[in-house]
Amino acid sequence: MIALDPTAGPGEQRRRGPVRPGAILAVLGAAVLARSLVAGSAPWSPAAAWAAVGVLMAGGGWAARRWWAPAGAPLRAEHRLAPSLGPWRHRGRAWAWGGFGALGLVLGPVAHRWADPPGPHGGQVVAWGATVTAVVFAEETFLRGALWKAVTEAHGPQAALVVTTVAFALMHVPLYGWHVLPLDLAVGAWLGGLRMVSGSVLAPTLAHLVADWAAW
Amino acid sequence: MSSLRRQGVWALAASGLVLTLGWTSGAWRDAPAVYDGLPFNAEPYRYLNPPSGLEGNGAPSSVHMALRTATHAGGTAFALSTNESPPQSSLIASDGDFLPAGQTVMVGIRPVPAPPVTPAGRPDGNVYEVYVEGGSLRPGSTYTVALRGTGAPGIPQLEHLAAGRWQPLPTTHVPPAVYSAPAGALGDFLLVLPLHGPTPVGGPNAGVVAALVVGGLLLATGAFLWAIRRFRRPVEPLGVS
Repeated sequence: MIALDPTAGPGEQRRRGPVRPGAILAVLGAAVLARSLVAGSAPWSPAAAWAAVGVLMAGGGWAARRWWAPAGAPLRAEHRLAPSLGPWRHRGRAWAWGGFGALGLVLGPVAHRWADPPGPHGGQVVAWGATVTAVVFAEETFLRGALWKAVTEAHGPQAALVVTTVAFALMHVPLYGWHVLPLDLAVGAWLGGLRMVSGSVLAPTLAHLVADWAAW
Repeated sequence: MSSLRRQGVWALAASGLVLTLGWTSGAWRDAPAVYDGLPFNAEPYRYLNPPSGLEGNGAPSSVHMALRTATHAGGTAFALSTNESPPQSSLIASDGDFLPAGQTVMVGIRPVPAPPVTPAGRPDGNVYEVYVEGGSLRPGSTYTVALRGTGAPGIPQLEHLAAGRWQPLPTTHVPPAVYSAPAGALGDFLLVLPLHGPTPVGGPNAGVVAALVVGGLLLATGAFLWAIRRFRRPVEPLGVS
């Protein structure tokens, strides 16, 4: 639904609506494409490529936000890409759900993969950690923040859960291959469930971050 | 509990059940343990006998350590890796995996010339020997061997030279290019790519292709949604909410 602001000038009216799911999916697709192009060109390292993707996704989200709510116009709550974190008591609930979600994501791999070779070490840890953190925040802001909100407004929260889950799984295919699609669908649904039950993007972000950091 | 939260709990329960089944059944042994494990700028693979044009990559390294063995099975775990970045070979074991108990033995990994036995597929990198000087593997003990692939397209399998032939081991892919397997014996190990079959996923080109497919799919979906909205609903008159 397009919500118009009666105080805005004529040129701004069309831009006052919520962010469209199509626009967000298009930016997401461009980010995945950009990753493949950047990663395939020396001397960029794959980590740098992923950092570029994170920046592109965050920048794309910001650009979409500015497009739909022009500079100078105060953003109304329903137009925000990332939902408000809410009052502190709700943040506490989001933290709790995030901790629970992290436990759920980490238990399986730890139980089955404890004997794997160690993860990054030495000077790699800092670069790795920074990149992982940036990618997690970018993904969650985009998927469970912007895309979730846009699809919810257009089609409801159930559709948001399905769309963000499929998008999450698909965007990981280029890195890991098609064989991880079932796993990432399940993880995407888990993170979406956290988003739904906590009412905040904070819970899936925390769970996602801890799960990724657990590799170290 | 609100309806939305109840639906969230159901989503968590369903996905948690799938995750549990996937991990406990072993169906996701080859899947990444984390969901954004990032590849690093790996140095070029160092060949013991480099193919033409790859002589400048340097020689592969060896590693060994003096180990005080435990007096019983189990004991304290340790990892041993060669010096490349990322390591081209590693082993993870415990000090109770080796005999004689309570003594000091030398445990190591080294690249060795390929034995005359030909594997069923294409070798992917060097043959590495896991050895123990002054001791042996405790009967019944199992340790983990990990080898890094060269990056050639395809998913290799870790194989062990035993009874005069290369025998495949249950291999786990640790992205982006490390493959590990449990081993119950010392000796020679090698990654082997399949000779035939469909083009496997996981190679560098496959990643680019998948990115193009997924990116194009998302872009097309976005464009489609934008288009149907654009044509279905013209600009609404001003002042209407």
